[in-house]
Amino acid sequence: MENLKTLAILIPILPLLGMLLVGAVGLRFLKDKSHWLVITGVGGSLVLACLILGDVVSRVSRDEAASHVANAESAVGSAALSKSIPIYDWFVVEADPAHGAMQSAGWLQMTFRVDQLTCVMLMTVLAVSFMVVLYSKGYMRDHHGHAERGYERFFAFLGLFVFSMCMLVLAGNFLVLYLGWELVGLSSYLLIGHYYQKPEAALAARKAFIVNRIGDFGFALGIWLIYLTFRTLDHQTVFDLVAGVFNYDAGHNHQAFESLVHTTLGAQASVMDFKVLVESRITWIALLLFCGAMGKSAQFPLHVWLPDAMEGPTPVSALIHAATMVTAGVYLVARCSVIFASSEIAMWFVAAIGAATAFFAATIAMTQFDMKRILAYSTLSQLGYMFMGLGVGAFDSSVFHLYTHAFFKACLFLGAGSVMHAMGGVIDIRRFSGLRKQMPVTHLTFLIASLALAGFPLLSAFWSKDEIIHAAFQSNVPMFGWIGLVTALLTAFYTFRMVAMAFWGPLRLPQGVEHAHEGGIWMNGPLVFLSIGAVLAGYVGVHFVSGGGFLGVFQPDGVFHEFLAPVIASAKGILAGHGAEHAGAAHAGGHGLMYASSGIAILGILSASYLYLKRPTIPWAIAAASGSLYRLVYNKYYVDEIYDAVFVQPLRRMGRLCFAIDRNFINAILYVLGNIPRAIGFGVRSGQQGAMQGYALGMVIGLVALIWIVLNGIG
Amino acid sequence: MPQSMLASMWMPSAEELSQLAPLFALVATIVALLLAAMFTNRNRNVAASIVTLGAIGTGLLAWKRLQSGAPSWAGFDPNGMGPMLISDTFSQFFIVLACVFMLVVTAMWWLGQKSDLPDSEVHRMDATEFFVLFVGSAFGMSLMVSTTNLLMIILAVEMASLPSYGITAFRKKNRVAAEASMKYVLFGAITSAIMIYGASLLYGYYQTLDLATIGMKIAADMQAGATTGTLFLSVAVFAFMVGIAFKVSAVPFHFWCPDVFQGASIEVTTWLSVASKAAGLGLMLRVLSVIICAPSAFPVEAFKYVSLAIAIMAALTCTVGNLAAYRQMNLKRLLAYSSIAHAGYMLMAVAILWSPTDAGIGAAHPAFSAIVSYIIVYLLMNAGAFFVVAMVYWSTGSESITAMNGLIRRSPMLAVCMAIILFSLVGMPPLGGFMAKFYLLMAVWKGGLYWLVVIAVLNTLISLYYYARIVRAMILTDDGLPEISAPMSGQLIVAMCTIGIILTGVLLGPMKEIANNNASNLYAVVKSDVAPRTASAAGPSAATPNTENADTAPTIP
Amino acid sequence: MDRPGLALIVGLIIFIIAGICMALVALVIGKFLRTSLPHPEKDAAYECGEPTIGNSWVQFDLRFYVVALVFLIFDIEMALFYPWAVVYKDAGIAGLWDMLFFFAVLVVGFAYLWKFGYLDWVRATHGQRPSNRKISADDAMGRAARGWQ
Repeated sequence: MENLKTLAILIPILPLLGMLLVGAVGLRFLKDKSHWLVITGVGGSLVLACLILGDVVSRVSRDEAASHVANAESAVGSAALSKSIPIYDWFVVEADPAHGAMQSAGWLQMTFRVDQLTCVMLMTVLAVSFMVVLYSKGYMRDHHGHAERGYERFFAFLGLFVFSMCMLVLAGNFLVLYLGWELVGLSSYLLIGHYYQKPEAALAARKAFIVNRIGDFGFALGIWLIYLTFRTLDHQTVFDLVAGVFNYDAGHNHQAFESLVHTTLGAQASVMDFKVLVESRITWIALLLFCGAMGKSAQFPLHVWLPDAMEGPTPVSALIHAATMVTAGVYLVARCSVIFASSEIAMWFVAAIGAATAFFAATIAMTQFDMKRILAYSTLSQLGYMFMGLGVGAFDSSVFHLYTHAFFKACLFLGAGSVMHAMGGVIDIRRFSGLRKQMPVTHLTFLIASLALAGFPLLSAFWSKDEIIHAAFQSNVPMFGWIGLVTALLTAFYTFRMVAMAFWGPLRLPQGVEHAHEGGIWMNGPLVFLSIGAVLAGYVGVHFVSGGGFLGVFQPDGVFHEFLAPVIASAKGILAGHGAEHAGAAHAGGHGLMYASSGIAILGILSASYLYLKRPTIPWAIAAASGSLYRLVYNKYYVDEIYDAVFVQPLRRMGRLCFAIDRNFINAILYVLGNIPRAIGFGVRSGQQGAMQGYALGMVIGLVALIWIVLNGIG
Repeated sequence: MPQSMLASMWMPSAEELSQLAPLFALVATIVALLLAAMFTNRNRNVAASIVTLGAIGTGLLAWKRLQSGAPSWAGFDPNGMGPMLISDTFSQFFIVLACVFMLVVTAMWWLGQKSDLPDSEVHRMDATEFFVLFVGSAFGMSLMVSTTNLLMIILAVEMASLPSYGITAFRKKNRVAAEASMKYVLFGAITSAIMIYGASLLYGYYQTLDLATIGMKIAADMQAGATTGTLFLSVAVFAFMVGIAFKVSAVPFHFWCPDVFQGASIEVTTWLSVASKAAGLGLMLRVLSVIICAPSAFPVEAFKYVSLAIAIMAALTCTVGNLAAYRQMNLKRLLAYSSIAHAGYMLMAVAILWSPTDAGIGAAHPAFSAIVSYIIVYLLMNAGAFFVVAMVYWSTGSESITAMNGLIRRSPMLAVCMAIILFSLVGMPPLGGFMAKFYLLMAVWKGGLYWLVVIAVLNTLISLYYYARIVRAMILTDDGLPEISAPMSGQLIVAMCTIGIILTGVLLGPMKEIANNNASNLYAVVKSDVAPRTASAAGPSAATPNTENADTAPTIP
Repeated sequence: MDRPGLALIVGLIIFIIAGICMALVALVIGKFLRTSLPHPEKDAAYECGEPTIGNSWVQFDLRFYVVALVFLIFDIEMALFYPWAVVYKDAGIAGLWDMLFFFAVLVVGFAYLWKFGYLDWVRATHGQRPSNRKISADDAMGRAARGWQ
C-alpha cells in the first residue's frame, strides 16, 4: 500500500515540478532548452506508471495464486486496489471545540485510487504524453531550429496538463476528480490559446472553456447530488452503496450492505428509506455526471468546441484533443459504471448520444478539407463509438477502444502536424497533394494509423471497434449496431479521402513552399513509435485460439479484458440483474460480424481511393447534385449558428443590460455613499476641514449608537 | 515610607529577563540605532542592518518561547497589584509576527531607496530617524499584546501611535502625507482621550488597574445580583475599546485609515496595514477575554448585547470598506479600504467571542483560532500585494490603478503573483484567503450569527469586483507602458508570499491542524490570564487584589 | 425609564441643555447688568499686555518645537529623579540600576541631539550634511523643512 501511495503521489508531482521549474528557471536561464525539464518530468512519470502497473499486475497474479490455495492472508493484494489511498485531508473541521481536536470532514479528503482502470489510463496518458512532448521539441521550432515565441510557456503548460490529467485519473473521490477535471479544462484553455495573438485561437480557447463550463455545471450538480444522497464522495463507498441497493433484491450479503449504510449515513439511517432514495435519484445522478462527460468528451450537443480547438498547436491537438483529455468523459462513465449500469434510462441515453455523435460527426468529416478538422470530427465520431459501447454495457470494450484510439489518433494528428510544419502552416488538403515521396516517414506512419482508424483487419482499432459494434448488436437496441456499421464505412471513406488527397496523386505544394521535408528525429521518432502502437496495441485485447476464431486464430477478449474485469464486475452484475439482453455483451462469438466489418472497412478504403485518385470529378458532382444537403453537412448542421442565435446573442444583450445597470445605477449609489462623510462635514464647515469635523462627528455618533445597542439591543 | 513605592523598585531575575528579552531586544535596537548614527554619521545601510538584525534577534527570542509547544504564562507583578507586563505564548506569537513583518518592511525600504523617486531621497537622508520611529512603533505594538494593565495598555497604544504619526509624515515634501499625518494625530488624540476616559472610569469604580481583577469583580457583582451600574460599565468598557477599535480601523473609527495609507510612503502603509491591525486585534482578544469571559460567570448579564454591537460594527466595517474600495483608483487607498474590509471580517469572529448564547460559547474556540489563522494569511497577502504595488510604484512613480496596465507583459512574474494574491484576498479556493475566510465564517455560523455570514458573503461578492478590476488592468488592458524593472529580491519576496498563500490553501487540512494546535495554546493562555486568580477573587467582597508572585512564572499545562 | 440607555440619552440631553443655559444665562445677566463703553483698545486681543504685531497665523520656526520637546523630556526626567532621590536609601541597589537604565536611555537621546546640533540655536553649517534639495518657495512644507534644517 505504501508503495502504491508513494508512486501515486510522485506521478502527478513530477510533471508539476517540471512546469514550476520551467516557470522558475526555464524562462530566465534555460530558455529554448526548457523542454528538458518537462521531458524529464513526464518521462519519470511514465517510468513510475510502469512500476505501478507492475505492482498491480503482481498483486492480481498473487491473488489468483492465492485463490487456488485459498490463502486468505495473501489475498489482500488486489483487495487493496479497490480502496482509496488517503493522501491528506484537504479540509478539517473541529470535532471537539473544547479541545480543538481536528477531524476530517470526510468528503473533503485528498484521496487517490490505484486500480486496474487507473493503470490503463495512466499508461495510455503518459505514453502518449511522453511522445507528444518529444515531438513538440521538434515541432515548436522553425526550420532553422529556433524556438518559437512562447516556447517555454508551451512546455510549462504541457507539464501542467499532464499533472492535471494524472490527478483526474488517480482521483479516489469525486472531489479530486472534479479538481483534475477543471484543471485539464484550464490547461486545455491555455494551450488552445497558445497563439493568443491570433483572434481565432483566442476565440476557440474561450469557446472551449465556456462550453466545458456548461457540461461541468451539470457535473458539479451531479457530485452535489451524490453527496446529498450518499453523504460521501469517496468512489468506492458510493459504488458499493449503489451496488448494494441494486443487488438488494437479488438477496445476497444484506448484512455487509446494511453495515456500510450505517457507517456512512449514521446509525439511525433506515436502510429501506435509503434504498428508495437511491433508486429515485440514481438516474439523475447518472445523467448529471454524463453532462460533464458530454462537455469534456465533446459529445453532441456540446461538441462544438472541439473542431475549433484545432487552432491550438498540433501537438496539443494530438495530446489533449484526441488522445487523452477528451477521453476523460469515457473514463468517467467507465469509472462510475456501477452508477450508470443501475439506470436503464441513463444507459440508453449514453448509447443514443454516442451513436448520434458517431454518425453525424462522421458525415461532417466527409465534407471537410482542413486536415486537422477532419481528424477532429473523426475524434468526435470515435468518442461517440466509445460512449455507444459504454451505453450498451461494454465498458471494457470502450476503455479498450479508448486505449487503442489514443495511439493511432495521436499518430494521425502528429502526422498532420508534420505535414503542416512542412507546408508552412497550410493544412487545407485541396492545396497540396502527393507528399508520399517527399515525406516518406510521415506518409508511412500516417498510412498505418489511417488503416487502423479505418478498421482494417488485424490493426488495433479493428479489435476494439468491432467489439463495440458487436456489443451494440447484442443489446436491446440493435439499431445502434447498424449505426456503428454505417459509421465504420463512413470512417474508412473519409480517412482515405484525406490520405488520397494529401499523400497520393501528383506532387503539388502550396505557394511559397519549395520542398516538403521531414521534421527530423524529434518528430519522426514519436510518429514511428505511435504507428507501431497503432498496429500492436490491439493484441492485448485478443487471445489466440487454435481454430474457431476470426481467421481461425483470433478470439476477442484478451488479457486486457481479464485485467479490467474486477473493476467493472459489479456493474456487469447489476446489468445481469436488469435483463438477459445486456449480459450478452460478452465477447464470445460474432465472427461473422468481424468478417463483415473488415469487408466494410476495405470497401470504404478502396472506394475512397478510387474516387479521389482516379475519378476526382465524381465526388464534386455528388456534392453539387446533393445541393442543400451537402451545404447542411458542410456547415456542420449549422449548430454553431443555432447556438449563436438562441444562446449567445440573448446572453450578450443581457450582459449589456447588466453593464448599463452597473454603470448608471450602482455607481450612482456608491457615489452618494462615498460622499456621505463629506456631506456631513459640509454642514459644519466646507472643504477638507469640514470633512475632519464630519469624521469626528461620525465617530461620536457611532460610539453613542454602539453604547445604545450594548444597553438595549436593536429591538 | 509607603511599602508600594519600594516594591516598584524591581530587580528582574535572570529568568524574568529572558522572558522579557524580546521587548528588551527591541529597545536595544532603538538605542543601537541612535548610537550607530552618532558613530557612522547616520549611515543608512548601517541603520537598516541594525533593524534587520534587531528584528531577527527579537523574532528568534520570541520564537524560542513558542518552540516549546506548551502554553506558557509569566506575569510581572512587582507591586502585587496585578501584572504590569505579561510574557506568554500569546504575546510571543504576535511579537514573532511583528518581527517577520518588520523584516518585510525593512526589505521594502532597502529596495525602495534605489529608485529615483522623490520619496527615496527621504530614505537616503533620514534613515536613522525613520527606523527609530519604525522600531518604536513595533515596540509599542509588542507592548500592546503583552499586558492586561490599564495603564500599560494606554502607554502601549500611545507608544505604537506616536511614532506612527511621525513615519506617516515622513514624505516631508508631500502635502498629502502632511495632511494624512495631521488627521492621524487628530483622530488618534480624540480616540486616546476617549480611551483614557473609559480607563479612568474603570479605575475609579474598581480601584484597580488590572483588567483581570476588574473582570472578576464585574462577574462577582453580577452574581451578587447587582443591576445598577450596567450603564456605567458599558460606557466605560466601550469608551476604553474605542482606542483599540481605532487601531483596528473599525467603522466608525476608520476615517484616518484611507488618508494615512494613501499619504504615507509605501513601507509605512504596508507596516500599518498589517501590524497595527494585528496588534489591535491581539489587544482586543486579550482585553475581552479577561473582562468579558471572566471564567466564573459567563455570560455576564451586562454584556448581553455586546456581541450584537460588535457584530454590527463588523458588518458595517466590512461593508463600508468594500463599498468605498469599489470606485477607488489609487492603489494604496484601494488596499486601505480592502484592509478595513478585512478587519471587518476578523471582527465578525470577535463578535462570536463575546456572544452569550450557547452556540456562541461553543464556537468561541474555533472563532479564536480562525482569527489567528486569518491574521497570518492576511499578513502574507498584504505583504505580497503591497510589495507588488511598491515595485510598480518605484518604476513608474504612479500609485494609480492604471500603473498596473499590461503588467502581465511588463513583468509576468509580478502579474501572476499579484493575481493569485488578489484572488486570495477575495477568498477563492484553493488559496489561503479562502481557508482563512472559510474557517472564520464557519465559526461565525456555528456561533449562531447567521445574518453576519450572509453579509460577509455579499461583501465577498462586492470585493470580487474591485480586486478583479486590478486583475483586468494587469491582463486585459495594455497601453504600452514600459517594462517594470523589478529587483530580483523583491520578486523573490512576492513569490514566497504567493507560494505561502497557495500552500495554505492546497494543504489546507494539515495547515489548519498546525494553526489550531497553536491557537489552542494561545487560547489556553489567554483564558488563563484570569485562571490563577479566580480562586481568591470569587466572592463579591474580593476587594484585595490577588498578589500572585510573578517570580515563579507559572507554566500552564 | 426601564431602559438604562434611555436614561443615558435623557440625562445627556438635560446635561447639554443645562450647560448651554448656564452659559447663556451668565451672558444675558451680564448684558443687563454691565455698562457699555466701547473703545478700540478694549476690543483688541489680550497678549499679556504687549501690543500685538501683525497676524498670529505665521509660520513658526521649527526650532521652537524641537526645543520645547527636548525641554519636556528632560523636565520629566528631572521630575522622576526627585522622588527617586528621596527614597534612594530604601530602594537599595535595585533602585540604582533601574534609574541608571532609565537615565542611560535618555542619555543616548541627549547625545544624539547634541551630536547633530539640535541644541544649538544658531545651527552651525559645518555639521550639516550637504543639501542639494530644491525647495519651492511657495511650498509650506518645504519652508518648514528648511526651517528645521
